[in-house]
Parts: sequence; structure tokens; C-alpha cells
Amino acid sequence: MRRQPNDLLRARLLALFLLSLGAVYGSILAWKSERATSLLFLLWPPLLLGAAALGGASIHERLAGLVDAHVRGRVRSAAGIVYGAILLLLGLGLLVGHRAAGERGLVILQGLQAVFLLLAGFGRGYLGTLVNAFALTVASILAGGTGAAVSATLLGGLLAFFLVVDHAARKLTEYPVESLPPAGPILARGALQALAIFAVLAGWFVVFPAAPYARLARAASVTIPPDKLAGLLGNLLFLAVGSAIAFYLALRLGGGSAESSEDVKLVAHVPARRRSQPVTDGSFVERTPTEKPWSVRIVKLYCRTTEQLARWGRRRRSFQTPREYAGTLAPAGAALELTELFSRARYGREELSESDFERASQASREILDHHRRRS
Amino acid sequence: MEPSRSTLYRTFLLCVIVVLALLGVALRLPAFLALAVAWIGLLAVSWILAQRSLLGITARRELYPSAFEGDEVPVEIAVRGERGARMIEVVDEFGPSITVEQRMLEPGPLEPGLERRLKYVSYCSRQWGTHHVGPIRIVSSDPAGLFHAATSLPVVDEFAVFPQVYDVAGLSELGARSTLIPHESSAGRSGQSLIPMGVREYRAGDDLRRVHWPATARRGALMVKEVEVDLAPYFTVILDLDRRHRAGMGRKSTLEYVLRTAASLIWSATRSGGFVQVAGMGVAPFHVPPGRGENHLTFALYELIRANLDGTTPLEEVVLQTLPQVPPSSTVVIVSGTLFLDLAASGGLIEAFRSRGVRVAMLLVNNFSFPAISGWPPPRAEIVEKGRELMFFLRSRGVPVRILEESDDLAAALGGGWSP
Repeated sequence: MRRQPNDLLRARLLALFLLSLGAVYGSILAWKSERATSLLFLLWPPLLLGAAALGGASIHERLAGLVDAHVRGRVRSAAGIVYGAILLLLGLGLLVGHRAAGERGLVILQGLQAVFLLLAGFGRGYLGTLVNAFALTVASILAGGTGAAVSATLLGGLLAFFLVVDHAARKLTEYPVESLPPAGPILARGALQALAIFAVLAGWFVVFPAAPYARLARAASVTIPPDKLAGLLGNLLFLAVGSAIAFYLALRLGGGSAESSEDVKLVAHVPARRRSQPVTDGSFVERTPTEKPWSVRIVKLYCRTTEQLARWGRRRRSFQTPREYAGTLAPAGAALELTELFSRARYGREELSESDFERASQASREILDHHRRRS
Repeated sequence: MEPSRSTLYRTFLLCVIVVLALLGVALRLPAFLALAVAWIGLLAVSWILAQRSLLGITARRELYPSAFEGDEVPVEIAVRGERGARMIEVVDEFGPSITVEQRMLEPGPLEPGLERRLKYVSYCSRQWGTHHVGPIRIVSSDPAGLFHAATSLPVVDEFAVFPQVYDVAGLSELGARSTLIPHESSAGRSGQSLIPMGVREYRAGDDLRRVHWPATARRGALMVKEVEVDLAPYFTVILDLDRRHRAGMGRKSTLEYVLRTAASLIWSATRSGGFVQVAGMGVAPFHVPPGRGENHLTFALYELIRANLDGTTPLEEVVLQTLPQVPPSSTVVIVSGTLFLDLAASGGLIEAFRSRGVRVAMLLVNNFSFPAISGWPPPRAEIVEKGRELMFFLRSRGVPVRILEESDDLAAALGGGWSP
């Protein structure tokens, strides 16, 4: 039995969602403020981002084992190169003051934010979401004005909140603890840290309004009249809060229906049934195929473990010995122990005991638990 | 394991701070600098919080200090803090296990003055010997997990892993019974045990404390209580710790076979309720005084795991030196590390034992069946011939004997009695 910090896991995804929403809204305010006056136009970011994050979270388990870890690494490298090229081109366009190129690049980044959020929902890392949100914020700051201030303030604060929640969620997921600490104080600490940064940055931008980058300022740009600004910000706040509540409810009622206080059974333990005594009434009795039942069980357990790991993308390569393969697994000690027992069972002459089988089972559980979380 | 992603976020923050600072200075946009300053502040506060979180944390370990190979060992660590620390990792090093490092999380908060207990169960998967458990490492971080601080508490314990022991079936034939239940330790003959057998008339020399006064009053003559003979078996295990008999490596070595056999003998003899003493001559004299019971077994095993094949005294001389300490009518089991014994000297010693009613048994580890680590082994035919000669010599004198080869499974060999 292992308890999952479901409240913190939801809060982490919610923080990423809000962080993405803040970056996209900031870029809209900074670059397309004339269209931001339409409430309908402001509806697409929460809908798109929310759908991406929720979609990723809901199909996570089904897609987790489809791609091998090596293939995944290659795809990640290729995607990183393409993404870097997009950022480079956008940066060059903005620095030379090409507003049209900047706007087109921003649309791509806004779309990519949804893609990164989808991947975050899969559980494939959150750094992409953060980097893309940072890129959107930098672009917003270059445009200057209210959009730049909103974008920088939201990113600064929400990143601090995300880091606190992510740290707590990761720790409590990785380690089995007897009782989970209440999520409230942890979230409050994150919120406090975020509010402090909010306050510092908001104060700064009140005193020193964000000026646009000179070359972009010379290009034609539309600014919002001050009388409409308060209404626009109110609309954005309303949409952000509303979508955050809807997002949280969808997470709680949809993908993560389990309560945080409930025990999640990760491994089903079935009591082992002992072989009954042979019948000695003269009738035919089938002999056991081997005289080493515990060794056979350990070999079968090893095979089942490696098959499951292969389904999660941790396949043993043809050139790897069992020991080399164990070196790629974690926790290292458990992997080594299981491999050693397997080697003794498979190639050794001695019969292993029930306690050896239990040791192997324990090591297998540790390895599978570890990789289940990472898959 | 843990800090990887935290370090990633810290690296990300450091990189973006540099980018923001460069953009702010190069493009003269203070908004970039403001964001950079805010995040520098976040990093600074995180660093301070990470350092402060470790102050006043102490830990102690509760652990039974010995176990047999393959045993499960429960370990408890009590952690105490003074500042309400949260999310601290407690890392303990359990030397007897292949999975050396055991990590646990104390989610906290650690209330000042209160103790929180963390438990883990490990296996003694390493070979017998003395291992270290500890030190305990406490790892903590700031709430965002950006910086980690660790301290090592000098809580180090010694942990003894005893060799896996097997029941020695042949021991019961020598007078002891292998059972954990209370054994029959007396016989229905008059002796000195504590079990009364009856009353008889007083004879000169009888202890006055044994006078049975009610029977004396009835019969009008002195009557004494008669008690049964005490049969608690008495074993002496003599070990060959001669360094010339070293051969093989690791689990397949003469040291391993000699000490495992000795441990199994002590275990079986103690379980049968007998007194056990152990003697040998390594670089220093090896002696476990006679005793019985679980505590004595533990003491003997502690001594045994410290022994080594490092002596220079031949086995025959060790037996000769031990001879005066062997009580009459007891049992001696000699564990030799070689088949090449001095038969003339051995014959004399066996006769000396027999003259005192001492039963002798021998377990001989054939050191030439293991890979040699120095010198050349004699020809195979010579070893086989020597084994036959020794078996005939000993059996003709009524000495039960068993030769242990490298290919033998000790559990089966020791459990199979004295027949080869």
C-alpha cells in the first residue's frame, strides 16, 4: 500500500496551467491588445490549455509504455533542436524590430505552450512548459506596457508556487510514508512565497512602468486606452479564476477521482499456495518437472519484471548482460540483488530458498514501484 | 537520486537570471532586471532556508546487533528536531546488505522535543563477518527544493552477521539430540542430576544434605534421596586454523567450509542442550569456554566470525594442547582443513581420548579440492588414495568421519550424517 499525494499532484498541474495561462494572456495583452477587448477572444487560451493538460493527464497511463526510452530520448533531442531554432529565429526577428515576424512567432509559441502542457500532463517533465512560458514572457516584456508587467509578475510568482508544490509532491510520491502530511500548509507556504514575489514585482512595475524595446516601439503598435484597461484586466482575472476552478474540478472529478487520504494499492499481494502433499494411493502422480521450485520461481519473477520494464520503455538491449542491464535500473541495490538472485537461480547448482524468493520479490517490487512513477 | 530535478530547476533559474540580466543591460529594459532580481532573491532565501533546516536535528538507531546470513533485520531510527523541520530525508547505511543505502522521508513537521520513528527492513545479503551500520545522513532542502544541505551524524554501530548454519545430523548419533524442546538430560541411574529417582538407605560418604527426613522418621534409619544421572551432553569442537590449509576464494574456500562447519556444529550442539567449548590456534589462541544456551551460542558465533586461517600450529598439536580441557565421557568433534594428517600422531590422540571414554568424530575439509592459492596441489590420485587411507584408519578406530569437498553442498553434506 502506498499513499499518493493527490492534492499536491493536482495543485502542481494547476500551477502549471495558471503559469501557462498567465504567459499566454500576457503575450496577448502585450502584442494584440486591440483584440483582447473581446471576451470571446480571451476564451480560447484557458480552453486550449485546459484541454491539453487534462487530455495529457487522462491518457497518460495508456500511452506511457508505447515508446521505448531510447526512442524517446532521440525524439526529445530532435524536438529540442527544432524548438531552439524557432526561439533563435523569433529572438532575431524581435531584436531587429520586425514586429510582424514577432507576432507570427508568438502564435507558434502560444501553440507550443499547449503542446508542452500536454506533455506535462503525460508526466514527461515540466521544464519545457517553464522554458516556453519564459520565452513568451520575454517577448511580452520586449513589447512593454501592461502586458509586460502582468506577464513578468505572474511568471515570477507562479514559478515560485510551482517549485514548492512540485518539490513536496515529488518527495511524497518517491518515498513511502506512513501518513501523508496535510496539503494545506504546504500550499500555503508556496502561496506565501509566490505572493511575496508578486508584491515585489507589482510594486516595481507600479513605480517603473515597463517600457517597450525601442526598435519595436517604433513599429506600429496599438495601445489600450487607460479607461478600458481596468475592465480588460478584470475580465482576464475573472477568466483566469473561473478557468482555474473549472480545471481543478475537472481534475478532481475526472482523472483523479481517488481521495488523497485513500490508500492506492500499487501491488496486489496474493498469498502463495503451497503444493499439496503427493497422493500415495497407488494412482498416477505427475512428478514435478524440476527439483528446484524456488529457483524456477525466481527466474520467472525476473522474466516478468523485465517484461514489465520493457513495456515501460526500459528494455534490455541485446548487447547487455543481466548485470549491465541492472546497472541501468534504479534503485541500484534492488536491481543488483534481483539480478544476483536470478543468476544464482538460473545458472547456479544450489537450490534457493523461500527467503531468497521473498528477497527477489521485494527487490522486484522496489524496481517496479520506482519505474512506475517515472514511466 | 533525488536532487536531479531540483538541480535542473536551479540550473534553469540561474540560466534565465543570466539571460534576463544580459537582456536588461543590453536593451536597457529595467523590467528584465526586476524579474532577475526577484528570482535572485528567491534563490538567496532558498539557500538560507536550506541551511537553517538542519539545525538541531539529532537521530539514534535501534537495532539488534546480530543476525544470520539471509535474515531480515528491522531497523528503527528515532529522529528529533528543534525547529519543526519538514521533508527531511534520513539516509542510513546498512553494511550487511547489498542495498547499502536506505532512504526514508520524514514529512514532518518535527515538533520540537518530540521524537519521530522511521523504520526500514533490510536483508543480510552480504557474507558473514562484522559490518558497520551508519553513519546516519540527514538531507534537507528549502521548501522549493532548490538547495540541499546534508549533515552526517556519527551514529555508527557494529553489526555481526553469523554464517548460515545447518543441522548436523551426525551429532545426535554421538549422544546429543537435535531438538529445541527441553531434552531428556538424565538417565534412570543414580547420579548427580536434579531429578529425584527414589530413596535408599544411607551409606558412608553420602552427602548429609540429601537425607530424606520424612522417610528417615518412618523407617527409623537414615534414608537419602537418590537422583538420576545427568546426561547433558558436553561437546568440544577443535578447529584447524593452520594457514597452510588455505585454499579457494570467497564462499568456496577452506576458511568458509571450516568456519561454517564449526558454526553448524556449535548451533546443533547448543540446540541439543549440550555444553559446548571451542578451541583452535590461529595467530592467537582461539578459545570459547564451555557454556550452554542462546547467549553462549551468540558469544561463540561472535568469536567464530573473527577467526581466520592464520595459524602455524599443526592440528595434532592443537588437539594435544586441548586434551586436558576435555572432560571424560564427553564428545570431541575435530574440524580439519586438510586430509593430510599425521596418522601416527592422530592415532595416539584418538587412543588417549578413548581411554577417557571420550567419543571422537572428525570432519575433514579437503583443501586440495579447492583452487590452490599457493603452491601446487599433489596429483589427484595421491589425494584420493590419502582420503581412502584416512577413512580406513579412522573408521577402523571407531571414529565417525566425513570428508567435505569443494563440490559438496554443506547443507546436504552436514545433514547427511557420517556416511560419505
